[in-house]
Amino acid sequence: MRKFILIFFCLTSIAASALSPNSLFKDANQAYQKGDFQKSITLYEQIVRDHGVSSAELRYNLGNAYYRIADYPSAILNYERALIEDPSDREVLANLQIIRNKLEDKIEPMPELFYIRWFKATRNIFSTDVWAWLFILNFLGAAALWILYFQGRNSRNKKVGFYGGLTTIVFSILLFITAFSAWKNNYKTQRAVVFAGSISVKSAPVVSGNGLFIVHAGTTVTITDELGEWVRVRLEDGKEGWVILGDLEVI
Amino acid sequence: MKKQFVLLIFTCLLGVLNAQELKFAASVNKSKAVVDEQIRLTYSLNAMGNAFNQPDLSAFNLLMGPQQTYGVQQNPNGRSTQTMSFTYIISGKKPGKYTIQPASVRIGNGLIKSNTVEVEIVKGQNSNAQNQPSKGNSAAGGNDKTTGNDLFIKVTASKTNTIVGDQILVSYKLYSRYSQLNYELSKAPTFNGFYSEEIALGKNTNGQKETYNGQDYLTAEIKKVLLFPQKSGKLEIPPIELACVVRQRVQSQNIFDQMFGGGYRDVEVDLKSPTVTINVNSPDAIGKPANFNGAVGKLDYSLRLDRNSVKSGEAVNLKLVVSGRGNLKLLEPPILGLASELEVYDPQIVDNFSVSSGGMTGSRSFEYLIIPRAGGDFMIGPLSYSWYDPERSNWQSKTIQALKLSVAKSSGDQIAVGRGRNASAPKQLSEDILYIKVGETEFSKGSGSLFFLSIPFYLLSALSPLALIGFLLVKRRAQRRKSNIGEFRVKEAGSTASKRLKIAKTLLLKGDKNAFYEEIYRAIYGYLSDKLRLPVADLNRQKITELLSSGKVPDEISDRVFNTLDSCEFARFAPGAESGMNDIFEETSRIIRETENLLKP
Repeated sequence: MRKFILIFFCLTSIAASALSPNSLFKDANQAYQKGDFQKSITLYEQIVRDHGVSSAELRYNLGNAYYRIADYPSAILNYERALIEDPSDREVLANLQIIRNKLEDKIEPMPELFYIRWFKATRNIFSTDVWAWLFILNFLGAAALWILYFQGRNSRNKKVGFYGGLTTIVFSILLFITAFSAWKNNYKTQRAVVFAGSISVKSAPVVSGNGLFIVHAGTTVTITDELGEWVRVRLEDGKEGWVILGDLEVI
Repeated sequence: MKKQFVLLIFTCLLGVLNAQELKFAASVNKSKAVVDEQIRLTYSLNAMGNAFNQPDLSAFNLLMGPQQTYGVQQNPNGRSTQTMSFTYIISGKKPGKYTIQPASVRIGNGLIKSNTVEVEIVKGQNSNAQNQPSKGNSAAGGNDKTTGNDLFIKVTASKTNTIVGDQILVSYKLYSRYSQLNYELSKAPTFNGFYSEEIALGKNTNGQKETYNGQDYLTAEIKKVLLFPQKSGKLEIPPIELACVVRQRVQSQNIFDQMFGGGYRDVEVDLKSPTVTINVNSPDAIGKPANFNGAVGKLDYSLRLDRNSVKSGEAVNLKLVVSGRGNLKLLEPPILGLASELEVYDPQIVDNFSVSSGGMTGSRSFEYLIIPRAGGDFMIGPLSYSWYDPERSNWQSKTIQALKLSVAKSSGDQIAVGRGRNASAPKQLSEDILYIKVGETEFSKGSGSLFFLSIPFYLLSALSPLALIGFLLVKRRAQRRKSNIGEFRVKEAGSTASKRLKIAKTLLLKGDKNAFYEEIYRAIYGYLSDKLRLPVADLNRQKITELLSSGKVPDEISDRVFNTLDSCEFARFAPGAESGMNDIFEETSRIIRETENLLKP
């Protein structure tokens, strides 16, 4: 009886290890390498569904697998999710560029002022948490420099403490703003990918509303308002209108 | 509708030479026919007429006609008359009874009308009443005598299910049971969706005897064409149309005609071949390899360089030969993918193939002129090509071993040219997504584990200001305690002094003179130092006077202090003044007590 229980435990532990996210990820990668993209998609999705975990690499690979079976909206959705985890991933950005060229809608983003563009580019270098940690470290540094100023016995230490303290305080404020902006952009701005083949964007949240323009599957939109099953969306070129939430998939 | 057969005879009104009646009769070879069955409608006139006015035949399909035939009829009275007839081949469109209205013809100045004809069209159980040769590969047109079995075009396609780029041999052959036959192409087919290559017909293709369905035919090849489908799907090979004239034997009542082999007449027949549908598969549907460039057939590739070592700037010839049987004429020059130091010109295409019934066979060669612009060893290839072999129904591929081209450097100006070329950006061949990431990954539970704005984040953020504030508080307390030490000494100055005096008292009782004065001295200086917050070292008489008077201590006291100090100093070094010790002690105690009272806050 005891032996039986031992065997049972061994088996369950083997089964558990075979289904761990890391081994599933490996299996999925192998399926992709063999060209069985459908199987790799199933395995990647299983990691997300069964373990509730995710990673930038997983999202990127899943996006690639969807691209291979020409499911472009799903591929875009996963690339965008990968960008939330790592906004500066060059491979994700490169693939997104390629896939966007294959879409029906070619949306020119609204031109932005140069300093906003620079700010956004800088912000996307790190993820929200990296910015948050930089802020914390810098803020601690500021406190240390002020202590040096108050405690300093000679004028050089006092000078270093004073100017260093001022600079780090300014930096801390900037870092906090950046972290906040990244957080807002990554977690508080609801973006979505159009999944329905083509939808008519209405001027009002009613079925009978005037169709303003048509967007096709794979287009990325920002959700700016909600009303029942309708959401107000904004395109990258600034056009706005109402669509049914069911036609979208929130990133 | 009454079924009647009325024969109307119009006699000629004006000068007809003989006693013979003029007859213009309409007749059909069958008065009852099924839908689509051919009916021959004949108007015969036993004279020469003109301006034949055709009847309304809109209720029928007019398959042929009117066809005029002329003949000579021997009359019993020994005279011969010319006859003429107009023949139509019609077929019924819908079941029902129809009356064909009379036709008219002009003879001389008179107009003669024919009789009406009744025809009944019934629904056919077998609408294909005509004997159609099997497989639908041939169909026929013709009049009653030239049925489908006697004259038809047969279309043969070498295959009806194939792939884009494969070759199909299509031949149109005329089958005839008539010995005399003339034909002319009235409509040549246009091959939409195909690339077509006409095959020259041989000399002995006409008049061959052939047995088909158990009957002997004379055959004639009309057209032979090699077709290469250019797109996938169901493609139609359109029909060919022929205008034929056949010589028919006519049954004659005339005994001489019968004796001499009977009368003949020429009948025009329009023939149309059947349409053949070819099912063309797409190469994508059967898993084309990546390096497939449209070649289909039984092929072989070879690659040759005319020399292996040159100087830079000298031309080399690279020859790629595709040989075999296939769509050679449609082959595009393949991309070589050579190093950028090798300047490649557009290839010259040399064809050496023939088109025959066997297909397109021979070779096509692409001759590339290559000029190396820099020295070094360059590899040409390895090149791999794929093609589809329709005979074996599979994909074939061949990889040609890389050829080595050694280039020796030559004079400088050519190298300069080469450098200019090297500066060009690499060619983008195709665009594809980057490969997946196969390394380790670190999984996290969504946005729930976000550090920013979490409790640890707030705690760590608060740490800095708290540390600074804490530091400042500690610093302030230390400072305060430091300043408190001064206060304490002021406060305790009196008691410290009295402690010293007590020691001095014991020394006095012991009679230790030096130590006693020392102690008195210290008691006074210590007290003043504490009380006036001045280090002992900084105390001098002037300062003491100043500070004591500013503290509202009368100068009298400071004088007494100085006197006492002087007495102490004097007594310390003057021997035998033991009695003064007690006075000095008393005086010191008094001074301290009084000053203490005066300086009380």
